[in-house]
Amino acid sequence: MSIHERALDQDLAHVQKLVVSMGQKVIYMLENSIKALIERNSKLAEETIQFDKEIDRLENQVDQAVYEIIALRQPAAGDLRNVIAAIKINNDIERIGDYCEGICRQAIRLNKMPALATAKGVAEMAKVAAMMLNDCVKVFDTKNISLAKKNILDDDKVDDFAHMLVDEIHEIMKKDPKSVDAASALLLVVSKLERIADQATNISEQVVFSVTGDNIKHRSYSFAHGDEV
Amino acid sequence: MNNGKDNYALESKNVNFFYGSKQALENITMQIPEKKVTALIGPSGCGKSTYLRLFNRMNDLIAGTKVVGEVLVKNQDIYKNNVDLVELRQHVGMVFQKSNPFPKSIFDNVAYGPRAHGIKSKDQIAYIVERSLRQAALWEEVKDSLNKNATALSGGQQQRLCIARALAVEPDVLLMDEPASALDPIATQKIEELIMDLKQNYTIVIVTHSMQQAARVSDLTAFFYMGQLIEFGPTSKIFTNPSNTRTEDYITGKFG
Repeated sequence: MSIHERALDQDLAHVQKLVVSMGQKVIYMLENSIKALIERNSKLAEETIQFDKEIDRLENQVDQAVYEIIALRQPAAGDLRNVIAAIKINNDIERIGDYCEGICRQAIRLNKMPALATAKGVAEMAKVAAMMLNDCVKVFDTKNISLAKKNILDDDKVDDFAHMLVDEIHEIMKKDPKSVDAASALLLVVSKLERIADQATNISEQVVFSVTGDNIKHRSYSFAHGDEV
Repeated sequence: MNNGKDNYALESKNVNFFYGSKQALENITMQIPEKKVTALIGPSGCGKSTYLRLFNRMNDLIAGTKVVGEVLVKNQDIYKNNVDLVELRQHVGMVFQKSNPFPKSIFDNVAYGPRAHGIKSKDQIAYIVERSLRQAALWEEVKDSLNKNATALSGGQQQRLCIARALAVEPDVLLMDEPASALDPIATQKIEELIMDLKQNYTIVIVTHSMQQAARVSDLTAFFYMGQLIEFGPTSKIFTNPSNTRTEDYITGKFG
């Protein structure tokens, strides 16, 4: 008896490649969304909104590939966890694309109004969210469990930013009612960045499940803090 | 019944089995619970069928075989000298890969066991035949042709007849050695549904080469490899996250 290469291995490699490519494309989308926001570049925002169609196209491709694997190859154990994780991560990445699109739509609104000072804090928050997105795609690509743990813990930083910025924006609204339009647009941006970070941790959780069989959802924080692998 | 001990229908303790000088099973310790379906899987020659046949001493029929260790049926060591084989095989019935009806009528096939056990009342025999055929999900298909020769039935019907025949003597345990491997998908599905029904009342141990079948019908799965029990546990665990890499490699088709 010897280990041999299966047709399934090629199928799994194909899905892996598609999902990683999708991940890299949303990283690019998020970078451009933040750029469009910070540099008040509505043209870039429009282009980025259009780019989301590419993510949607890839999502369908991954779904189809996974359906075929389940129907034709009947994966079990690690292979099954691998495809279940892929289909969930596919969904997470697609959602991140939607959030980027949402940020761009708010950027276009904001660009028609005077800039708010809080935008700088949002840019700081966006940097951490972008780093988390980078990391979770790397986690998926390399199955690096210690990086997954770091990724899960980093979510706290984004949450802290979100709380702080929401308070700040509320203050601005209270002091200057004319700022309400811009401030509410910025609130939406903060909320979408916060969701992107959540999706990034979801992706890391799925990779941990795929590699170890351990479903760490809803206890990922203690998992990441502990010394389990 | 067993002094508060765990309710295992079948159990083996450090069992070694030899065909002449060739060792086919090495130190198998395993407990098979009552009224569950336990699947034995593994590549050809891994010892799974040999292990199955230990429990009604079918291996005794092969010259030069030797069992070392304890094989327990309801906590009784069945390889002790005083064991009555007829009684053992009444408790532990068996269904084989190839259906093997007697060249007799459908009725006589099922009545054979009860008659051999001394039941003479025609009414009682008729009652047992109907009950057994109903339990084997065959009654509706054959109730109007009970006098027809059993060999005229389809392969799937013959296999269900053999199950009815095994059930007629009211066993506690049914051993099944690849009971559906020679059947088409629909007949296979019927046998699988029957297995799920029967586990309400019987302990079932099934040897199968179909991993999907083991996944579909069993509560517990044991993976054998080269005469050793590699892993034994809940089927849901074995097929989603086995502990042993050899189990994973086998069920995912990485080796073979």
